[in-house]
Amino acid sequence: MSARWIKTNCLLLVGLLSFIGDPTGLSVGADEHAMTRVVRAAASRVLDSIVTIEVIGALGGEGEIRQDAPTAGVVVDEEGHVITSSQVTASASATIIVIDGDGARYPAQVVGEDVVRGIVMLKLGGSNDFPPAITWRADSSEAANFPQRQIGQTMVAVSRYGAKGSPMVSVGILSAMGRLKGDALQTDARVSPSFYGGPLLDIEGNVHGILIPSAGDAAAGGGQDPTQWYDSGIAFATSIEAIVKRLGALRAGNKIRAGLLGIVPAERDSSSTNTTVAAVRPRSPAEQAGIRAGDQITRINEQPVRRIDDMRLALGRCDAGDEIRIAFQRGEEEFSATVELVDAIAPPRAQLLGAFVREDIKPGKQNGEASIDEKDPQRGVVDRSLQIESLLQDGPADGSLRVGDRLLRINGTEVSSLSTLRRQLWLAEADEELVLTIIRESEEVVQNVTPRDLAGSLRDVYGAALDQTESRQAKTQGWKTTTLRLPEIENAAAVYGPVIDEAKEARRAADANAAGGLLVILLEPDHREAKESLKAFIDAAKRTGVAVCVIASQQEGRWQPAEDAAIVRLTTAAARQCRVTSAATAIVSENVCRLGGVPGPSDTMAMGVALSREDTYAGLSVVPNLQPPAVRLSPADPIRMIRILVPIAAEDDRPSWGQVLGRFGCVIQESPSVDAGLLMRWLTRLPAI
Amino acid sequence: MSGNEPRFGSASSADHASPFHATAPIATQSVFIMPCVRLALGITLNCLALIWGSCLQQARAQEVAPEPSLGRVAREAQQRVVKVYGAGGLAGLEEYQSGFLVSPSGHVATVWSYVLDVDPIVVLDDGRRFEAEIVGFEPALELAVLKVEADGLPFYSLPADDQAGWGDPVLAVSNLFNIAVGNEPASVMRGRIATKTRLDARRGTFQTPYRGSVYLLDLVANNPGAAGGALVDRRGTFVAMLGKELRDSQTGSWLNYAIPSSAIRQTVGDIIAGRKTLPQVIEDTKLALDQAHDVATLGLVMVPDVLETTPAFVDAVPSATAAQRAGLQADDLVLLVNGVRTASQRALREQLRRIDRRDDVTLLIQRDNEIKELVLRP
Repeated sequence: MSARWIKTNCLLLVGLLSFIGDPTGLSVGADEHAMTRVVRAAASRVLDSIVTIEVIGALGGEGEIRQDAPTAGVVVDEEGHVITSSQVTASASATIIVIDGDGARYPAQVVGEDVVRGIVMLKLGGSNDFPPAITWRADSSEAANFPQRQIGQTMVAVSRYGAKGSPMVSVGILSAMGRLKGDALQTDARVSPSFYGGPLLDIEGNVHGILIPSAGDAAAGGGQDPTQWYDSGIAFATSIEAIVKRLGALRAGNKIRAGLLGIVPAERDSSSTNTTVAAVRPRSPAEQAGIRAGDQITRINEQPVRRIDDMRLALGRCDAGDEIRIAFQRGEEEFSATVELVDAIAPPRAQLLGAFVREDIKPGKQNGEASIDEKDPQRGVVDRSLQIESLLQDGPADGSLRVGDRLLRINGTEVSSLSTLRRQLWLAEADEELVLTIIRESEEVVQNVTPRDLAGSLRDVYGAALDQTESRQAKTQGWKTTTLRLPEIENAAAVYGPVIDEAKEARRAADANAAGGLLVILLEPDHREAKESLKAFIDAAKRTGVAVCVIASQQEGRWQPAEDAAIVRLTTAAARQCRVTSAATAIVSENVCRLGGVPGPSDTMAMGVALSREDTYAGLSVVPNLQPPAVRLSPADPIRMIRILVPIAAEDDRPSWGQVLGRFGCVIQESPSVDAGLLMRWLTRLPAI
Repeated sequence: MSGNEPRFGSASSADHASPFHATAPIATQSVFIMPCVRLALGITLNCLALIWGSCLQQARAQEVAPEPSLGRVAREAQQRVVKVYGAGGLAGLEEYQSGFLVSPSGHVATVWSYVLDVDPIVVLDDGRRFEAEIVGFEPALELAVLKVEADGLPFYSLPADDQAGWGDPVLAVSNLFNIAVGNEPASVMRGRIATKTRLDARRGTFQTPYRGSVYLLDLVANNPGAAGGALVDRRGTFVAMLGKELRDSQTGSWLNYAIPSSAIRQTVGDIIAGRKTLPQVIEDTKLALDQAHDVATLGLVMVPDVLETTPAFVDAVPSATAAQRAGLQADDLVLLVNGVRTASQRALREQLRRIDRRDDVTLLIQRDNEIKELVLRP
C-alpha cells in the first residue's frame, strides 16, 4: 500500500470536494505525527542529563532578559560536571543552584569558563549521586567521532521549563556553521533564554552543540546585549567538537581566552589578499616566532592563509596557551615556527620620530602625480619612496634627519610604505634607539634616533612649536563654506575649506591650497544649524589652514549609535573635497571646543565613531567625564591607532576609560585647556611619524 | 550518518508507512465533515467543482511529490477565527484582538481585555461585521464570550481533555498586528508545542490572574492582536486559546503561550448556557500582617536587604525560636519556601505573607556545599 494508492482511491471524492479541501492534506497528518515522535525520541535521549540552572542574587543587567533567568545545562560526567552557557556568569551571584529532572537541587560552583565560545563548566556538590552524564552521540560506540551535519537539516533545541522541569523543545533547521569566532552553529529554531545552555540535537538525538546567548559579532552589526536576539530565528550554539576538545581544560579550572599572536597586518581591509605584516608587537608570540615587519604570513597550522579574514578565523579557533605552527615568507625565503599564543600582550607605547614623511609612488613617472591609493592591489610593483618633508622643531629627529632625506630601513628592515612605517613606530620599543638608514644626496647614511612617547602632555610631545601659529592666511584664500549633502543622509552638515572643482585644470590649484587637516565637529543634538555653528570656527581655520566639517544629529535631542555610518560618509566626502588623508583627520565633540566644556551626547557619539570606524580618524578629542559609548572591543581586534586629546591638566586626572583604550592601542594626550585653535594646531601635527 | 532524515510522506520506507495508514482514516473523516458546514452553498457549485477539481487533481498527480500541506486545517481554522475590534487605541494599546467561534449561533470566545471596554465589533471570516454583545466573562481566566446575531456558522467544539504534548505540531491562527484588514482571513502560523507547564501560583512570575496549565510554543505567536486566537492541531482539533502578551518575569522574555481547551471549556459552556459562574478563588492572597508569618515569627535575622535582589541569606538565628529549633544557622541561604523558589530576600518576605502564622514552614536551604530541608514549627 502506498500513499499513491490512497490518493487514487480518494480522487473522486476529493475531486468533489476540492473547492474546500486540499487533497494533499491527507498525508500531512502522518508526516507531522511521525516527526513529533522523532522529535520526542531525540529529546528523550538526552533529557535525563538536562538540568535547570538558577542563579541566586544576580544583579539586574541593562537588557530585557533578567540576569537570574533560569537556563539549562548538560551533565557531562559522573563527577557531576555540567556544561552550560555564559548566561550563568553574566553577572556576579551569591550562589548557583542546579535542579535535575526529578526536582533534586544541587549547589554548584563555576569551575572553568571559555570566554571565547560562551561556555561555562559547573561542578555539582552536595551529593555523590548525580544525574546521568550525557552521551554525545546516539550511537555511543563511536563516541570519538562527531556527527556530520549539513545546512538545512532539522535541529531540535532541548531544555526544561517551570517548577516541574517539564521537557521543552523548539524545532528548526541548521542555518550555518563556522559562525562567530569560527566554532558556532547557527539555527533558526526559536531559542528563548530558557534554552541557553541546553543542547542542540539532530533528529537522531546526536548532540551538535550547546546553545549560547549571542547577538553576533559587534563588527558585523550585532548588538551589545547577547540575549537580544532571543526567539528571533537567529540563534547560536557552540559546536560539540569545540567543547569536547576543551572539557579537560575546563575541568582543570582554566579560563579559556582568545589566543593572541601579536602581528599587525599592513592592510586594514580584512578581505584584502595581502597578508603582509606591518609590525610585530613587542614581547608577543609573533616576535618570539621571529616574524618581522614586511614578512608575509602564508600558513597557519598547515592551512594556507590567503587573506586577513583567513588569519582571523584560523586564530579564532585557537586559545591562549595553544601552540600554533605559523609559516611566513621573507623575500624568497620561507620560514616557519611553532609558538604558544598568549591571552594578553603588553599594550603598545606608541613612539614619535617627529618627521613629516611624504610617500611618493613612482610607476615610472617622476612628477609624483600618481594618486596614492592605499587599496591599490597593484601596489607591490610600484616603486615607493618615503621622503622627509619637514621636521618637528625640537622633535626627536630634529638634527639627525634633514628635509629631503629618503628613508630606506629601520633597524635593518625595509620600510615599504608610509602606513607600515606608522605601524612600526606605533609598536616600537620605548626608550630604545632606532637605527635609520637613509639616502641623503645619493649617499646611504645611518642615523640613530631615540623616539619619544606619543602619549602624555601635548607640550611634552610636540614641544613649544605647538603654540606657534604659522599664518596660512594666504593658503586659505578662496576657501568657502558649503553645505554637504549626500544621498540618504539626513544629518545637516557644512564644510569650510577649499572648494571642489572637478575641472582638471583646477586640480593643481586645488592641490596648492589643500587643507592641512580636517577637523570634524559633532554638534550637540539640540544644535540644528550646521552652517550657523560653523561660523565660530572659521577664524581659527583661517589661521591654521585646517578645514572644518560640522555635523548635526539626525534627530533633535539625541545622537543614535547607528548614525556612525552617516558621519563616516560625510567625513570621507569632506576629506576628499579638502584633499586631506585620514592621517590628518580628527573627530571632536562640540563641547571640547569650548573651554571647560560639559560632556554631552556629542562626546559619546564622537568616541563611538572613532573607535568603531578606526580607518577614518587619526585623532579624537572629547570631554573626559563623558558617558562612554557602548562599543565592544576585543583584545583579538587589530590595534586602534587613535590619538585621544583630553582637556586635563595632568596625567593623574586621566579618565578611567583611558587605560582601557590604551590596552587597545589608543594614545591619550592631555592639555590643560583645549579650544578650537589648539585642536587645529594639534591636528596639523597628527600626520607626523 | 546524518542528513539522512526520514523523508516523510514519500511512503518509500516501510517504517514510515505505518503512521501514514494509521492516520489516513481520520483525515478522510474530516473531509466528510465538510459538507455539513458548506451545505448552504448548493448543489450547482458541487457540479462545477467536480469538473474543476478533477482537472486540478490530474495536474497535481503529474508533479513528483506534492508538498505535504496543512491547507485544509488552516482554512477551517481561518473560518472559525474572528477579528474583534473595540476600545483602546490610547497609550499605545491596540484596539483589536482575535476570537474564535464556539457555537453555530454566533458565540465567540476571546480574551477579557480593555478591548471589550465597549461593545465590540466582530468581523467574521466571510467579511460580515456585527455589533457583538458581551454575554459573560471570567476575569480569573481572562476569558470572555461574545455573541453575534448569525446562524449556521462553522465553530470549534472544545475538547475536555488536552491531548497535545510537547513536540506536537500546531497552527496558531489569529489577527496578529491586525494584518488582516477588511474581510481578509486571519493569519496562520505553524510551529510546535515547546512544553506544557503551569503558570505557578507564585506571585509576580506572570502578570496574569490565570493560574493553571499552559502550552508554551516554539513559534512567535503572541503578538499584539493575537490574543483570543485559536491554536489547533494537525487534524484541525481545537487545542488552546492564544493568551495576551505576557512577560515571563523569571527570565524577562516574552512568552508564547496558549490556554488549553480543558481550562476554558467549562466556563465557556456555562456562560453560553446562562449559568452563573462563580469566579475561581485565587488562592494566592496576602494575609493580614498579624496573621501571616514574617521573619520575626520564625526567628530569622536576615542579612541587610540592600539590593533588589539581595539573596535570602540568614544573618543570625536567635535562641528559642522556630528557626533555631529546626537547626537553621547563620549564613544559610534560603532556596525554597514551601516548595516555591525564593529568588531574593524580598521574595522571601512576600512568600511569608501568604502563610498562616500557625502553620509550619518548610525551607530548603543551602549550607556551604549541602542542600537541606528544614521544617520550622511555630
